[in-house]
Amino acid sequence: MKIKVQQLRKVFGKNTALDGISFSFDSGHIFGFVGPNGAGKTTTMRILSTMMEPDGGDAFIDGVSVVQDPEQVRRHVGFVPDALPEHKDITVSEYLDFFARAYGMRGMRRRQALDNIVEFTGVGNMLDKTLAALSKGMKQRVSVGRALLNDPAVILMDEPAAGLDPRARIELRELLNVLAEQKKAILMSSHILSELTEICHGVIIIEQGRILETGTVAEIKKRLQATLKLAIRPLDRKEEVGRALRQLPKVEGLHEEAGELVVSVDGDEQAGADILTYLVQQGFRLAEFRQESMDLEDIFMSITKGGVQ
Amino acid sequence: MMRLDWFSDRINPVVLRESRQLVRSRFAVGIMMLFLAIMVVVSGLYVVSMNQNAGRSFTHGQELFGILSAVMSLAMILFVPAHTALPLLLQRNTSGMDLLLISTIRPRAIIWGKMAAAFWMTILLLSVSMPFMLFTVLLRGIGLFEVLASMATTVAFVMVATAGFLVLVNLPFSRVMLWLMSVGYIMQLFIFPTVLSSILLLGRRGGVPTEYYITMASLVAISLPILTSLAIALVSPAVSNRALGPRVTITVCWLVSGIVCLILKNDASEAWLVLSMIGASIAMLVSASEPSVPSQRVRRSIPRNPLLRLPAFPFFSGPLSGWTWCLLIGFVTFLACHSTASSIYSINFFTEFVPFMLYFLAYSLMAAFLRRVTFIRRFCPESMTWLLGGFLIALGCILPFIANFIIDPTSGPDLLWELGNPFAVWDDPEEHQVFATLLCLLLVLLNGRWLVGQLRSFRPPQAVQDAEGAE
Repeated sequence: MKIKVQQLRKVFGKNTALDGISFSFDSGHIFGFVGPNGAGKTTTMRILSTMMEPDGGDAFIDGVSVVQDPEQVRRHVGFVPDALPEHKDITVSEYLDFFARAYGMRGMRRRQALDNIVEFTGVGNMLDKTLAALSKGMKQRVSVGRALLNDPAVILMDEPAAGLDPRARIELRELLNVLAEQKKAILMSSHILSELTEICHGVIIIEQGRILETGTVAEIKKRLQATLKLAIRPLDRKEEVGRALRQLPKVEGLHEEAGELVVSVDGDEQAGADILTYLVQQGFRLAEFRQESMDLEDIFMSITKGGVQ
Repeated sequence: MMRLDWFSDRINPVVLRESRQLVRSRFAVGIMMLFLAIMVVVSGLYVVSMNQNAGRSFTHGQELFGILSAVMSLAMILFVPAHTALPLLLQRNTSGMDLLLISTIRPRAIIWGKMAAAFWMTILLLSVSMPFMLFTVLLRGIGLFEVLASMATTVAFVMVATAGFLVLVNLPFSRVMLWLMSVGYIMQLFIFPTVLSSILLLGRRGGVPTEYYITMASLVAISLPILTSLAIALVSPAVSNRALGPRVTITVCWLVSGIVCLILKNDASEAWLVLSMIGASIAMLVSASEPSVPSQRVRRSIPRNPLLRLPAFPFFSGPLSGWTWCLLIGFVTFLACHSTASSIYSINFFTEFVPFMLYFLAYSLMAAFLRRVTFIRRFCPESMTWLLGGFLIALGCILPFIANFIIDPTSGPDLLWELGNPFAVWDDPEEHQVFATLLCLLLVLLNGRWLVGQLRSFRPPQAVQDAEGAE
């Protein structure tokens, strides 16, 4: 199973929500869809879930076009919207049963599917509660359960972690990891970047309808981090260490930050190791020597401009 | 148990959900209890206040029935449509409908499910009032048939009111606008049962006339399928051929009612022509708001055979398709009425509606033209072209009057100042016809490229690709 988005384009009046975006990933992977508000994340999700038709380009779920064969695509896709179910007069079991019926499940097949979902999402002890009476975390579980009823190979989640408390987030993360192990392809949009770093195998960064970066966090980091950054905290003789570093040909820049020397090096980890060896050989005593790495937040902030459609 | 499961599996899930919600809803149970209480109180008060000659009076049952049927109609016509349709309005921003549409359930199943649930709710309320209604038969002055006929009429009205409300809550307007319209709709629903009760009570002395039941049955038979098909179309995704269902339904209703009316002749055929022409004229304005380029998904359902494509064209979403369909309806209606007219008066009456319809076409074309080529497009999306058309009609009616008043306040309305007013065609239909035809031709020319573009884009996906490749 492969999700492939090809030159997807969508225009709303004067606003170009999607400007020819392309990306792809395989089943068993969780991909994060990151971008500022109005970047085109929800539009992409709605097109992938066949709720919307693109003005140009196409998207394929396991080779099936969302434009040409949306009925077939729906069988493979489960969608978790950002809005949680809020009905006051419908219980969890009735809600899940209703959607199982809406997917055309009958008899034993429906009962089996419902049992599996209840067991998987752990909502068994609240089946008789109305949806409005559930916590946000439990509502999210019910919402995920609903999306999984027809056993889709692809799951699209729009801001699934929004508004959840830390415990519910951890539970959601565990749930997603299990789904990825079951070879489901998961695309989730989120504003909580630290969350995505922990859950996702890869990210797609989008802004103003254009893909800025796509790939695993490590790959993007490698692309963006052309220079190696080292943070060095000498035990003493800080100024001498600074002078020694400046003499090295591979050192491009050096400044002091929070009591540490931050060095920009033109080279890879090997160059970093050479610098450490040199400093030790020169008799400098170092309390700390580490490679400064970018996290998803740094990546996001460095490549997006905060532009909104 | 096995049979129950089998039945439960085959029942529309929307009906099942609505029924469950009805049973659980405190509001619904509260309304039912209130309804029952009102029935008990009204019947009790009436019986207590009956004079001592009750045994000799033959009108007590009739009087009590009048009061009870008014209460019953009011309660049902207000409660059932609101309970059925308002959740759709509340769910508008919660993705509820989207989630349903990406399941395998069809839009028609959603609306039919809602309608079926409304029907069962109505029957439930009727069963509550049934003992009181039968009690009126015992009091004399009214027959069992009239009681049952009245109940059936109420059920029919409730269903029409529900379908109408389902159309309203799915209109593509803002939530605030829809709430305002819903309040207006609910308020106007008060009028129907009142009028219905009045007619029933008025006709009681000589018995309820058969024409009354025939007229009501005809109205229900036409409006119920049309409103239901409109609701289904509005629930359907925007990228589907939304026009197909309503146009097929309206065409069938128009055809059947036309055949019946032409057989009955005179008043019936005049009524058919008036309704058909006015309906087609309004549909022209609505058609102007349809997407002019069919989406990829709509294109998939366009017949590949060019011979089938021609008759299919009027049944697809699009301004030109819509106008073609409206003109066909208008033209055939006029021809049928004209050829079967029994008097010169009827022929003249039929002829007056031709310029009326042409004016609506002209204003629809004008709205489409102005929206496309002028600054209006900045603030008027394609879907709101109908509003622009309505505004232009209003201008066409008012501006000449104002101009006439400014230029010569002493003179009365003159033909020159009435040209362009679709509601002034009755005085000089021939002159209006010439003017409206010329106006239409001019606007067709102005919209020429756009209209031809619509014709050319009416092809299945592969044919479009081939044509683009050839170009």
